[in-house]
Amino acid sequence: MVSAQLTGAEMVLQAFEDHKVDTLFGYPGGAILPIYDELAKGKSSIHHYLVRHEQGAAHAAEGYARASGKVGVLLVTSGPGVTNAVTGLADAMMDSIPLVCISGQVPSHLIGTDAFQECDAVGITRPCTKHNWLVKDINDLSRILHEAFYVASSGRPGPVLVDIPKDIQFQTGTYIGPETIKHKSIVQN
Amino acid sequence: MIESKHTVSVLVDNEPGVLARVIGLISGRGYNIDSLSVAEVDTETHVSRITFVTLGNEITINKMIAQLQKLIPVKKAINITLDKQGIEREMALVKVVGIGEKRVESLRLSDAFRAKVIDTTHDSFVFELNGSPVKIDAFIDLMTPLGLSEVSRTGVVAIARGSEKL
Amino acid sequence: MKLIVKAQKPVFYTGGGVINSGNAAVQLLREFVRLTGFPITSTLQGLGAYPGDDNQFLGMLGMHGTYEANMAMHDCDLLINIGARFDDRITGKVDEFSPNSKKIHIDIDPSSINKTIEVDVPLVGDVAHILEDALKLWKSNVYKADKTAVKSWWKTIDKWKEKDSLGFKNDKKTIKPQYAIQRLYELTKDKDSYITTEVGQHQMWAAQYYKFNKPNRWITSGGLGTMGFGLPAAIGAQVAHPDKLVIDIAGEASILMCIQEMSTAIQHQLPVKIFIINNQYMGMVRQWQELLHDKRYSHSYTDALPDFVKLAEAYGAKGIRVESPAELDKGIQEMIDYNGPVIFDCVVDQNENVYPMIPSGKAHNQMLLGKENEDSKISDEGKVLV
Repeated sequence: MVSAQLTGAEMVLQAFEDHKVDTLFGYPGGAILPIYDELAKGKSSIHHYLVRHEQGAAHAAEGYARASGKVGVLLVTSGPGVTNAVTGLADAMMDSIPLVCISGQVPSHLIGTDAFQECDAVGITRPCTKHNWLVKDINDLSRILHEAFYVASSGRPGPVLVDIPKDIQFQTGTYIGPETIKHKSIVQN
Repeated sequence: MIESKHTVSVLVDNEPGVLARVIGLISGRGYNIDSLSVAEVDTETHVSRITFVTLGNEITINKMIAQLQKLIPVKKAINITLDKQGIEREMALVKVVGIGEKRVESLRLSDAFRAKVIDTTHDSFVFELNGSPVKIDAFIDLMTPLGLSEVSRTGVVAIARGSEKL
Repeated sequence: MKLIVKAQKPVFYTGGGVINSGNAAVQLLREFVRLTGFPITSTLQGLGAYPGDDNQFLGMLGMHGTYEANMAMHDCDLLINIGARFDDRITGKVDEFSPNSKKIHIDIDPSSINKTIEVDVPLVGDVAHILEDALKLWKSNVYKADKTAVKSWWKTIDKWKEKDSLGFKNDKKTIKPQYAIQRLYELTKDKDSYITTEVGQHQMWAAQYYKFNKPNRWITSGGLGTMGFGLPAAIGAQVAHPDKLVIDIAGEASILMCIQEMSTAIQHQLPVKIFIINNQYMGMVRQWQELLHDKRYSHSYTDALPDFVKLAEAYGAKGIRVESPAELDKGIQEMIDYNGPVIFDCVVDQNENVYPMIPSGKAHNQMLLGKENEDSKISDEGKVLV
């Protein structure tokens, strides 16, 4: 896919497809509902495995990555979803396992107001991820998703987190494919 | 190895949270930050320069720089004190409160340091002073028995000598 | 290269970096090791990069590594680190680590170089690329190892192997945990199984007694050491390889931390096998309390354990309990043959400790080797480093 007008949720699934992700571990929640809704529409061939605790999702993604050599992907909601996954992210950081964690976040205008199930995901996971992003503009989302996969799997592999506010998941913007991305700061090998 | 103050300059992408990221790494690894300054230095490429002073020896600072260069938004990190024979400057606002002889003496000394008086009342001065951190430390030392009341410092900025770019 | 040619007592020290690099790196490593004829040891995360049952493999090194692996690391004159990070579980006392050797360090992460141990030749890059160049140079026949020196080095190593540091006293009445892992290995080794673990004594025994001949089959939480990791990780591994046998070797304390994921296994029909080494204690903590804190077993007894067989059945899985060595093989086979998730409660001897052990604060050549050494005291500085 080179360029298209998609919603945030559609962009996430499109990015998964562009990066050949066929397996997802996750647990739904309010802030991540738009993406789960896209999954339910059945247009994507990705297989989602429902776990019982976000820590389980993170460790399952790790086991999957270790056993297959591919990037492990997990999908969690905001607040307790993220904090439950932190142990798995820290574990992946210590053992250099490539993980991409997509987390829901409360709508942009509610960030910082102690909203329901809100937490500073980027602040909390900063020391235990290779890098993380809070998406502020729908037109940055596809670039960030491609960067996320690149950072997770290149050089010394490690976990990354992309925090997507719920309103951005609903908005429509321009999706650009991974071929056009060159990460500005990374100098590898 | 003896520990001493080192000034480190880090060029980073000016993206939200990058300062927190850099400082989080430094303090997370157990280093203390004595002073810190940060500003965007290239508006076209949105590159910021973070300069901080920390205590350490050559080996520990090298390890810290290696860790910093691992961060995604960090373009380059360098030990200005050791590697590049850098020039370090700082600005300080110094409030001295007093009357009579001490007040006169403080004004005289400020002249010697080429400090500017930017505020004055009948019993106080506020001096603005630019210079190397050592010069500023010396000025503050001298003002202490003369009624030094408050100090606000910007933190060190540093740049390498010569024509080479970081 | 020059260092390799001069070496009289060389050893390869490989880690997770080889496996992360990929299959090419694994193949290149195997070729390089075979061509040089040098001994090779591996960290916990590197197991499987080199065949575990090969003659050149000395076993895992480190805090619970084999005697010969640790002695070789200590006495070598050339240490070739490929994709490992000189973790504290490996080095023991840093200023007494491999004191007389020159060190080569191949690592993709430049901040890993000289982080804890100073090396002589750092090589920053992907293991596969560097090994490719190294092999080209080696095969060009310009460089040759000192065959006589290496032969007498092997003689020294063989003498260390005679200590049989992984030996244990088996028993007819109680199942020894080491024996349980050995039987599990024997009955599953031909099935290209994937093994995950939780964290603790069972994890170390699994690393010691289960031999891995292929990479990506051994999945364990090394750096963070997260109890509860094994069951969900086994689920992930089973998703990646639906037709293979996936076993989580667990402790009874660890398995309860993420036990809710049994539902995940049942829902998605992932037939993972949970092999619980049940010694009724948080074994590793108890071992430390025995050695360091005068046997004051503070909160390391796992009280109020559920009946694991009933627990398995409550989830809709199969539960098996074995308490005597005579029933072990039959139980393991039943677990393998069952078409679905299984919780296998293997009740073992409560008093076994993991040996060899480099007590914290000691060097590689000061290992404890079994019951005779349990009285040696650990210093206060050592206590802090556990």
